[in-house]
Amino acid sequence: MSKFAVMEDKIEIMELNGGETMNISFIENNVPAGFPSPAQDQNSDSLDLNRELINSPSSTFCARVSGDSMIDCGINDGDLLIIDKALVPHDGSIAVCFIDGDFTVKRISIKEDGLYLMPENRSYKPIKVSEESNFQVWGIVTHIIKSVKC
Amino acid sequence: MIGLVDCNNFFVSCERLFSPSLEGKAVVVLSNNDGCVISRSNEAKALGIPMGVPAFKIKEYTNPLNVVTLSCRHVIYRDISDRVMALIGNYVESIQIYSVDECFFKLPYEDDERNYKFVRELASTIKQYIGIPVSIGVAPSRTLAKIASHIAKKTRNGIDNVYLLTREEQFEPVLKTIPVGDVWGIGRRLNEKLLRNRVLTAYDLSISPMSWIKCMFTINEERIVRELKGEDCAKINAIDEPNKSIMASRSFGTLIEDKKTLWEAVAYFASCCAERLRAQNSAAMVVSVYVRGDEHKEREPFYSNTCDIRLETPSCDTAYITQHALRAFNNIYRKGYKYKKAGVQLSHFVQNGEIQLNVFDNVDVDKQKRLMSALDKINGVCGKGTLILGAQGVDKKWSPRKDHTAKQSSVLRIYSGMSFLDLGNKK
Repeated sequence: MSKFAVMEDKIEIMELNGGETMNISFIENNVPAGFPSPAQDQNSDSLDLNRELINSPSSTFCARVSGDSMIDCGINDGDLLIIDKALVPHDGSIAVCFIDGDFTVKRISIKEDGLYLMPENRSYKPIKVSEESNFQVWGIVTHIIKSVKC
Repeated sequence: MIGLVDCNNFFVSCERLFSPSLEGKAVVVLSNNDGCVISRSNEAKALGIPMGVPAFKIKEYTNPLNVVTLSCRHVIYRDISDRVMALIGNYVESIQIYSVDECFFKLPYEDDERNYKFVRELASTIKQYIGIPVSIGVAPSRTLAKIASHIAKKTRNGIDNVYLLTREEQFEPVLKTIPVGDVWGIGRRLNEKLLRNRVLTAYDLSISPMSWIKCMFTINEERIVRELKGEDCAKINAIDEPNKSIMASRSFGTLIEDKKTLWEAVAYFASCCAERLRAQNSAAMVVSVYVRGDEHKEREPFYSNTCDIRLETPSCDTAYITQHALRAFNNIYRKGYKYKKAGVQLSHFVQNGEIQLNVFDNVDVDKQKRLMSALDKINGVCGKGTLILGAQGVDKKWSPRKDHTAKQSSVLRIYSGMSFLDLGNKK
């Protein structure tokens, strides 16, 4: 039962300032994880993170993850999700869902016998969305922002 | 044709967006300081809770346990409002934002059929993209569009809360159902005057002889009558005009006697106004300040006053405007009274390019401009209020209280560690 932390139902959006552009120098070639190439000291382009991460500013929201049910697809506790409400859910989409009073993030799976919310962690079981469920796909996860120790 | 998008129960809808469990419950949102009801869900309306009742009187209408009461969170409503307006702006040519939850726009087509399809799609797009339910009214004038959107709100047939009031043969039967006091722009006094003259419905008003209207009322009522007949009296293009006055005011959390606290509040309001003034590229000629006690406190002496100051040179400079607002405040502040509310208003605008310099002026306008644009940039990037005038102070002792707001976290929190196996057992 300890896993079922009481859901924090009251939440606040993070304001996404889509208006302001901030270009960051961007290295075109893929960054090798090995030895850095000395020839790569010239930046070929610049990158605006807002444009890179937000396709539709008016329908994009942010959320912070608590929990470990999606660790196998790289969503960890504390990660920041970028969510677009404009997108239509498909089989395989990672979605922020509202089900029976709580928010959760899961992968959507459409099977013959109905809709499932699939965790990405073997210690969790899939959730079948039943007729009686108070269920809503709140938005589709488009990006996961992780911070690493530095 | 003109459309009006009206967000349904806007503040409640914003709260529900982030707390879907509020769906289906009676919910009200209270004004600053949890004063009175400013937004109600349909369920709360059905319980008979009127708009504007003080929070403590809700129990006179229903058992308070049946109602979820929330403090307002205007920053969020503003953000959602901006999203709604931006989204509508993507689909239409011309948009006039009328209030936080309403905007007028120009329909793209000539025929009803395509317009109907268009507004239905617009409503469902707003619902999907932002999660806010809206009603849309379409009519040849804004006054009629207002009426159409009210009808759209009432005839709730599933998701498409839209109503087209475009054909002349519709006008008579529809306007006959609208009490004249419900017409946009008819206030309480005007309503009484019309009722005395046996003008009871919007239809009665629309068929009143123009000559009678002209001699009894002002040009404004004449415009309303023409709009009710289906004539568009305010071209939607004229709509992009910048605001004619800018106001920032707030009721305080508690009554304030201390001059320094009030001084800081006035400085804060002045800088908010100046920032908005720069955003619309105007400069103001008049700065007004008002202070007000609490007339409902019987044992306290009541005092209220206002002061206008005409600036030597029109300005949008935070420091300059704040300095004059504080001068005005000094003129009207009286010791020994307790204050409930204060505000700053800027008016008599000129566009920034049209400023005429006073010959005796020794203000370095260019330097001011550079300073202000740096200020706006820093506050834009690092967040509102990063850089402020010292006069505003930092502790905001005057700021409104909020009792019903839950803990504010900066982002939506989702718990992914949830299994429904046990939830199933719970039932």
